Amino acid sequence: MIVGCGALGTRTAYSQIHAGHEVLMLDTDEGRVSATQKALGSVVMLGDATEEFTLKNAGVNRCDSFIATTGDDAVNLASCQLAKFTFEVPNVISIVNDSADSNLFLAGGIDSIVSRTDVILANLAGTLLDHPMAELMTLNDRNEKLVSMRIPPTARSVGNRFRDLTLPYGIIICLIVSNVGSPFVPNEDTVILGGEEVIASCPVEALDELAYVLTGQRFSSIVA
Amino acid sequence: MADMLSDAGHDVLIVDEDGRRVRSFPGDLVARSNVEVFVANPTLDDTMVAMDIRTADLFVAALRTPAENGLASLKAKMTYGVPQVLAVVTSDALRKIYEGFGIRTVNPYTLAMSDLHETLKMNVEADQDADMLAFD
Repeated sequence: MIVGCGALGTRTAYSQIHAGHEVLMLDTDEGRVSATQKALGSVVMLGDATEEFTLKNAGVNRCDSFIATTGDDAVNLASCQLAKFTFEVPNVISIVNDSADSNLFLAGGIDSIVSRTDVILANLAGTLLDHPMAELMTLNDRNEKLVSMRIPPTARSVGNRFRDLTLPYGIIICLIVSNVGSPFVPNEDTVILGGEEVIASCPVEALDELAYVLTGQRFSSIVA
Repeated sequence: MADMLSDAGHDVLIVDEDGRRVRSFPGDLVARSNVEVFVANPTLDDTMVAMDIRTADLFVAALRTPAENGLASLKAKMTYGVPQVLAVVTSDALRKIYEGFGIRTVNPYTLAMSDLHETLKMNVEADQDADMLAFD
């Protein structure tokens, strides 16, 4: 179930429908509902997702994922909390428009959040050639992040194998994106080269150390 | 509620983003020395910080929708640690959720129904008394 027929909700619905999922969208705006019906067919319902009976009538009991995509954090939080606590939907995801609300959403019981601001910042950082680190996403258990780090040519890690570095506990190096050739999954014997991009899953508390070992810069200084 | 709290000697800060609504407040309320009015979106962190929410003893969320009241009151309680947080919530399901996070809730419809019920009960009792008197 997807709340919000804006550009984000509609594109999410489109991709989920084409992936073979049954999708129902909810929105309070008749114009948006009508436009989405024209584009996607009868997968849209007019209604307020912060109302218990609307969600019940929409069949939220049998959905396995609930995604709130509106531009209003109050609506996203309330609808997700109803889905999570009242209807026990297993996977509840919310867009967070004001990044200051991110921790509140997680503390409020939402399984996963996507912060609009953080995504834009990560994309901006990713387009800059010399970006040292970009956060790609928060992983489901909330304490881990998927990050991308570009290795500066002068970093001390350059020329070393991963097994030679003292990486913090809990790191999974997932992928190396090189300037030449295809991305590949590294192993302990992979030699790190300057200019490569390392994609890793990392506990939040270890981001600083990982950044320091791979790029020579502290995460805190990168964020600042 | 602002009127009542102010009368009881408390310092009251009223926050609303609708300037017109703020201007329609009774003049004698806004003029009191222990009442301040702030025109801003009360669900935003910037507003909460600007109104020095960490020093508040009580936060009451009485905005347009239960969802807005939920966001504001959860933020007051969980982010800024206000000891007493009260939210106006008309949805029974949301009431249960917010109370699970330590927020006290008030449902104006339930209060009105309860008031109505009491009034009807009193009227029926008065009728019965009248009947009994007539019977005597």
